[in-house]
Amino acid sequence: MITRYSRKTIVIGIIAALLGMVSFAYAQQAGDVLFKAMQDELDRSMSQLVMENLERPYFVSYTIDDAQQLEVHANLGTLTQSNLDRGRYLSIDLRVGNYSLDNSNFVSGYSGFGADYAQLPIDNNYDAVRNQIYLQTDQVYKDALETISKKRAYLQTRVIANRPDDFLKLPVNRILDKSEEFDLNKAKFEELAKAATVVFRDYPDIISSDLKIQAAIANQYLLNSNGTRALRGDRIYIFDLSMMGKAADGEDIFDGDRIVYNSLAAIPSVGDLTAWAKANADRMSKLIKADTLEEYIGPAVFTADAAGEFFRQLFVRNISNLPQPTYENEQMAAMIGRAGGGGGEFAEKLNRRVLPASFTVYDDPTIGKVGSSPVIGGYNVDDAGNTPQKVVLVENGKLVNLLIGISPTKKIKDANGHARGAVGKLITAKPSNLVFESSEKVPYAKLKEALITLCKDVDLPYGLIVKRLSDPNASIGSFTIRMGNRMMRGSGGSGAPEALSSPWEIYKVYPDGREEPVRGLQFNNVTVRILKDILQTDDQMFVYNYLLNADPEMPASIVTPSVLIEEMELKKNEEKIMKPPLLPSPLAGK
Amino acid sequence: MKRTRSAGLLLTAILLLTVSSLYAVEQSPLLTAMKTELDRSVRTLGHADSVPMYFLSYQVTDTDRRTISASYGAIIVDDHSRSRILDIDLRFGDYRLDNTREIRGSYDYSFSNSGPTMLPLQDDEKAIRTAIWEATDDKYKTELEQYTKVKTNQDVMVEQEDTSADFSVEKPNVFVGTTVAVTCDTAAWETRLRELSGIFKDYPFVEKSSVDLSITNDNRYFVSSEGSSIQQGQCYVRMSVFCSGTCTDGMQIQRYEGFDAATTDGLPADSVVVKTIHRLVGELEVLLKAPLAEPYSGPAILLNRATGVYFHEIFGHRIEGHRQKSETEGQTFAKKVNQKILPDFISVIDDPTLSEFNGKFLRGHYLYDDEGVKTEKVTVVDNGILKNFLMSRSPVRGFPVSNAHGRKQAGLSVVSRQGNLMIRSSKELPFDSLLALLKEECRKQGKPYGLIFNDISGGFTSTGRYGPQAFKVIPLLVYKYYTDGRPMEAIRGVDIVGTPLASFEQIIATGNDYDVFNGTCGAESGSVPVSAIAPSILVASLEVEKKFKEQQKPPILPPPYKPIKTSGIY
Repeated sequence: MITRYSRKTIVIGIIAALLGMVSFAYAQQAGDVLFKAMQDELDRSMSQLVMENLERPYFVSYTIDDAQQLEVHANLGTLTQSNLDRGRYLSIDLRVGNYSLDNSNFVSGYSGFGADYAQLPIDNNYDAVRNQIYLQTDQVYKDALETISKKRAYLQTRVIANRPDDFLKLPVNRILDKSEEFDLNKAKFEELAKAATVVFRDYPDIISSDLKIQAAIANQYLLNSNGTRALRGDRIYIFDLSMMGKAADGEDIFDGDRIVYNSLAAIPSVGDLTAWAKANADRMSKLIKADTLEEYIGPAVFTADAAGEFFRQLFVRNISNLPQPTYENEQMAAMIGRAGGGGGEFAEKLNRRVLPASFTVYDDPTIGKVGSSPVIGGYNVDDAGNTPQKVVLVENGKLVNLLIGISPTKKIKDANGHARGAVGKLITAKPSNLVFESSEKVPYAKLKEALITLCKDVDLPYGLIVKRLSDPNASIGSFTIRMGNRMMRGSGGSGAPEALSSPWEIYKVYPDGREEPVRGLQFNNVTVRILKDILQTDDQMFVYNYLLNADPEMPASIVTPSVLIEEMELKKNEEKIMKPPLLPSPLAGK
Repeated sequence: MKRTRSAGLLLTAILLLTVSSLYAVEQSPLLTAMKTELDRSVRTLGHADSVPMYFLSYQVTDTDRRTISASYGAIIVDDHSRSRILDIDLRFGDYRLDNTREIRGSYDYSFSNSGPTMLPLQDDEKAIRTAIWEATDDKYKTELEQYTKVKTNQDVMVEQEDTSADFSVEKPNVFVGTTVAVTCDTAAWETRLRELSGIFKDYPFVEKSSVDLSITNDNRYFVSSEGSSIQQGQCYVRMSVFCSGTCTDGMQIQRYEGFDAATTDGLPADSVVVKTIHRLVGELEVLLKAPLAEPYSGPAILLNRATGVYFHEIFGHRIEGHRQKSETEGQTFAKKVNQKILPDFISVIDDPTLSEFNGKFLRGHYLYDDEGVKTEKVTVVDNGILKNFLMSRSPVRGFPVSNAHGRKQAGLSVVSRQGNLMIRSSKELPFDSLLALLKEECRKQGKPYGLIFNDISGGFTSTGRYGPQAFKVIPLLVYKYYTDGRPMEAIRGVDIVGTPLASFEQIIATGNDYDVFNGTCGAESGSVPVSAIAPSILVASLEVEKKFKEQQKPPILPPPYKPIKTSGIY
């Protein structure tokens, strides 16, 4: 995932290696044992694993994710949770049939959504590791035989026009990265979390807050029957802040921020993290006191974070996970599609306009920076052992290519290094560092002026600037259930969530340029077609870091300017408002 | 070979004696912070609305757990976790009718707005109080709304059959007990578990296996508006051994044994664990080759610990007080008080005050329940006559007060649960006599064999009115005991089924071999540690049916390493 190291990281890596030969040796040994156990069992499986008169596997790939993970939660200067885990997980892609038709890409009942995995010993014990690989391979092989018989039966009775092949011929690679050392220091992150959240003691208006620090170091060992062998070392540090308060009328106000780093050297100092927390708390205090607005139909600007989240929800979702699997049950397919697990609206839009003609979009896993800003979505080898490639997706507003994982689509048949997955999740086509470039760009001040001019044209006293959208995928600590309730209500009871999540931070902008925060709004009638209503962008490139499927194993970046959209529709939150707290917070007074 | 390994393990055991236990006997600042916020809430919220908030309690469960799991000589898991979870009981109305009353005629989907409240792990008064304050405010509003629903439901529905109050009046308790912080020498334990789990490598028919250690320090803090203030701690240490395999017809067989104690020092020596591993492996091998049993109805013996599980499942759950009250429950025993429900030589007692039995640790021991009521010995059945139920503070007809069986897992609501369930008999026979009686009973009924249930894993019992109020218990190890002197024969693939009232009438006699089953019981209020103490019993008739069978064949290839032995020792 994140294997693009800045020069500084590499230098530090070398020093660490010199200072700690012991732990470096350990990592070497882990790789030796794991690769040997995988290779020996792979050889045996390919030559001997066969059930009576049934078919043998035609392809087997083993992936071991060897990880150290930390999750620390803090509020008001105290910890509420702190766990450091060590785990090794085996995922197997075993295929029976042939490249054109195999046991993959088929959802039958509840199976086919995710990927099975097995927990492996964390000791470098060849026998014990290999035994688990053997048991899991046996299980996966039997499941594969069952799935392919169901799939063949299903396809026999249906006409599916030019169904793409199930699997593409993966090139043979040998990409051996440096493994990362498991050096997560729990006490250090606990102290950081406690120190940074002390500031919230001065904000009694913020009813609750939670700083979640998630850190993960993972070495991924991959080996397949084509002869590919890959090792990738990743590390990631995520600081997720969530805040909840109540407006005077009782409305729940949520806000938060997330910062992500992929090197230990990059993570903020106590001072910087505290300043970040304080800036968030200050903004939240203002949002709590903001005015409400009944409704708004008119032009809007999405800046920085909000522009990133805007493209993620409307663009990334539709470019990911293609091709879609075949569902045995059509109702299930409809349900999954609606719930947002599917996406992929761009599957049929190749060579058609998806953005204004001024736009070029590319995805590039090979870069570590855009301009001078670091991005976190890159890797040296993807989750299927492929070499990453830059892919131009949109040219002059037209969709010209697709991201490819391990399955070809109807028109694009070759791997382009975008196979991404995680423990327990299928490997599918997903973006890495997605860059949006526009030729219709002006300085931000001009973009704001353009917004005001548009408002004047339609007699609106003010326009709207959206600076932050809620992240519908994020797990936001103890607020998850409350937020979930809001999202359900946001769907207006139809069950289908709005294509764009609730704005957290939104401002009225008056003709004189003055900005005033407003609250209590949600988007209405947003569809993917709104991408074509982008009029202009500013000339800055902002990096928005996020996690695909909220999974720390799949960090990604969106690089985008701020965008001006011709018309957005917003309405008042339809949520039942609870009265404000009956007692003052213990933090207030005394 | 075997001898040298055992010696090595003994050495490890000696090193492990350095394990430390820490105890504290002073009031925790956490309890003080809880009390301060409770007082403020009661003072200000007690009469804030037209309906009085007549009761408020806070409970904080501080759980510190270490789990180490090893398989095939390697560590799989080594985890440590800690949490503090807050539970609030907040009541509007009065003891007679409050917001907790069951809403009849519909399922009630309403639940609290937020998930469990996680409190700070440090004793920081302001931070703790802020978290409690927010959760209380949320709970107050949710429960006030619930109270209105209850009132409306009362007005539109017919009068309930049982008109008991919603909450019993109890004497408040103040108790500052010791808190626990048992730790272990992780490295030494890892070594020990590696060695022990490596023994399974000798047996190619063992598919999955593990040797685990878990240490759970459970410290509970309780304050209520009635004046209760309780601090208590209990450590649960469990070492367990597990193995499983697949029969040629696809049936999964598993064997398990757990050792429970209050400290790691209370766990058995390696020699005992090694012996247990060999026994389980032997049983597994026998069962893998055992014939499939046919449905059968006839005499049977349930060995002591199997009897404990059997009683826990089919009897214990039916004497839980709240099941006599809810209008959706079967209320098997609700109207049988002072009537004979068991043979007159059997008494049933639940006594959480006991911390051990014949030197064995009891997981079902506690001093105060999760509603702050002090534990006592409860005689449920006296010589066959039903006398009492296991009561929380939710009264049922004729039983207006609690007997300290209100229990729960952190984050859930209390219902009445079992603690240490004891089956006492006045018709105790030596086990040989019980076997002779079994043979005689078979002859009487014209059966060529009886069944002996050696081990039962647990079961399902449906006490609700919607489904059949029957039970199913899952035996793990069953033998055919032939009347013609043939050796016992292990069988597999049966479940015990029946209806409770009919089954109890069938008990003919019991053994004198009381033993303890320690386990974790799951029900509406979550997982709680329990014990069951019972002698072996002989039943005139017990019915077994074919159990669900997995269809997947055993592994196609043999294990990748060379096993040392090819057959088990039994």
